[in-house]
Amino acid sequence: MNSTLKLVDGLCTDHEMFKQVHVHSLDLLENCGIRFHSEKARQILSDAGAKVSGEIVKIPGHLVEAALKKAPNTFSIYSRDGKHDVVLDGQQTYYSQDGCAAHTLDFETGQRRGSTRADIEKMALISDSLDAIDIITPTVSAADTTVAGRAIEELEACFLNTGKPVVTESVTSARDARAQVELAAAIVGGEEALRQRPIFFNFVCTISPLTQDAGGIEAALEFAAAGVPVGFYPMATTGVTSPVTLASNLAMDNAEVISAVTLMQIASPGAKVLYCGGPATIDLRTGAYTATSPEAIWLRTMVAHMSNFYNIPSIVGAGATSAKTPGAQSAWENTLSYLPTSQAGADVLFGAGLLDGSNLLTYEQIVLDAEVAAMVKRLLAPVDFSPEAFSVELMKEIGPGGVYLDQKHTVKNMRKALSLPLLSDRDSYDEWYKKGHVGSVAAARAKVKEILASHQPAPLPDDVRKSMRELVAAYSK
Amino acid sequence: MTGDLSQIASSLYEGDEESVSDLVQKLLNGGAAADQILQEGLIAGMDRVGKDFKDGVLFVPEVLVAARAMHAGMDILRPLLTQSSARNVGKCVIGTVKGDLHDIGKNLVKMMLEGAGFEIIDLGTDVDPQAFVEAVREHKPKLVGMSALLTTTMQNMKATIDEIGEAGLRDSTKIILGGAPVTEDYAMKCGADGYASNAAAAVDLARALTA
Repeated sequence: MNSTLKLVDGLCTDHEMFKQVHVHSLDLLENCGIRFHSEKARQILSDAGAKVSGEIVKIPGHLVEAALKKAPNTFSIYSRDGKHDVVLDGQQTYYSQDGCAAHTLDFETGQRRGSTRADIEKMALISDSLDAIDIITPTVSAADTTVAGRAIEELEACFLNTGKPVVTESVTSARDARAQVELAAAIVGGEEALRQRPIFFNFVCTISPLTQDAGGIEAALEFAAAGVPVGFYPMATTGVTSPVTLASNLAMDNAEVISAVTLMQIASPGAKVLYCGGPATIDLRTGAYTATSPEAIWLRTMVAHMSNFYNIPSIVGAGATSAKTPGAQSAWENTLSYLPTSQAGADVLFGAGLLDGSNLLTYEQIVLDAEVAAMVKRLLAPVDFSPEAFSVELMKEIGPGGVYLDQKHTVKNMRKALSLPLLSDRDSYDEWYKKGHVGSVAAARAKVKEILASHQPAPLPDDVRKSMRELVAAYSK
Repeated sequence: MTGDLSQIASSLYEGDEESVSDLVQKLLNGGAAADQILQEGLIAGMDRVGKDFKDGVLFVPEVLVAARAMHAGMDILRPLLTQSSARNVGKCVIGTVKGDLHDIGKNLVKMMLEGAGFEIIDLGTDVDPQAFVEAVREHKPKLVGMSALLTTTMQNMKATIDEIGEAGLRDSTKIILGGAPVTEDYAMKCGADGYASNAAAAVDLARALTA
């Protein structure tokens, strides 16, 4: 067996190396254990046969293996507008907005300020309009809402401004999970309808090393019980919360995910769960979290591979450039992040639109990221390789030295064969100059203005809006 | 002896705790003054570490490992040092505020403050405002550091500062804040004395406030 693993080796999902990760994770779970801060979670695991000592839970391998078998291999997340359902079956990669920053660079003034609910609303609207963005999330924290009502307000802000599926994070209590379930149920006509066709899903961050948040895990139990798919998202950071070697980081992330999946399957057998991760590296010069170093991208690509290994739908952290402004660095870092993770078959890439390691929102960045997302999707999409596509008869007919620009065949096939960019400039130099020699960030900004001025999301009936507002008021106390 | 002193500095630079302890003890046994060992051995070594870190030659983990070697030497010297030379820059009470379980940043700040000579009282995570008040009362620290990762727990920073004030202890200490959602502006609004956006900046701020 090799003692090194290359990214291209990983394209074979059966690779021996993934079994090694699994084995090392089981060793950690059985012989080191995971700290579950939640007493409820500890009780569930203890009753099922795990060894609990204080807050540390040692989970035997057979419990984990049994749980992994129960986790569904594929499911869908539905859109309230009915036109943007996403199918998580490993056959395509969907792009979600990134979350959750606490600072925004104000679109009008350019000043860095605390994030607000209005930011979530505007970003949901922008993403609703961008074809390449499939899933919306509260991209920043609604810091101007009450603490009690924050989780439900953030979800409401999304649902009001998009008809696409929504994913939430930062839900840190069972109460907040319940609030989000009831809000979504108000839209689809009840909790049973939501269970059948969930219009949102959630993921919970673990606390590396080897620790599960109290409120987050209890929120997850609530979501799982309600039939809302829930994922577990470690962000172990090499050299700080995992050892500095990449293989160790992978084993740790994996242990954290499968320990939570085990808990879910014991509490709600057959619960829809997601295998997630946003591992990162540190910058050795400062200790700073880095999501788009080559090593972090490698780790995230392996998260996608591990989800294939377990055959569970995935949310993989992507993007989150360290750049503080939209531009060259944000472009190269995010592009290099989206490509291998998509090729590895991540179901959802989380995400697009934030800067400064997911700490800063600028409205322009998502347009730039959407362009890359569209290109990657297109690059990885199936290409027509039928006899008709080879068009040999036509080539014989036109012969050497002919032209295809004015052919009926071209007209008939061109829209399927070729795509058009959202933003990328392809004009001649003179045209580009005449049009104002606008740079890509300025073009993105113009697009944002255009969307905010004119785009309307799928409507919500007044009675539904009223029910939603009542729930928000009730939970904001 | 000069050879041994410069070897202490080198061993400290390399992060070799055992060698530092052995050499410090050897010099003491030979009659050398504790103050001199401190200045020409330990501090000389740590100064080179600091310079090379600023110049990008050494990385954060190397600084922390060197600091641990420095502490090993300090533990032996401390009882023997004269008052003026004892490099105890001050006590710092540190913790993550109530409701928040995240502590990576807080732990990095703690390690780097220790490297800079502060004595840290770490209250851990999910720390009640009253626990901060009690710690200030008991330890009389020069500095209090608070950390939060969530926008929903940040408000406990102001609550804690207010309770320290209500206990009549506000003027007895300097309070600094940190964490991803925190800003300079927010820290000022809470009535803190400062804000740092990363661990190295926290050390500079701590030094400035306790000078």
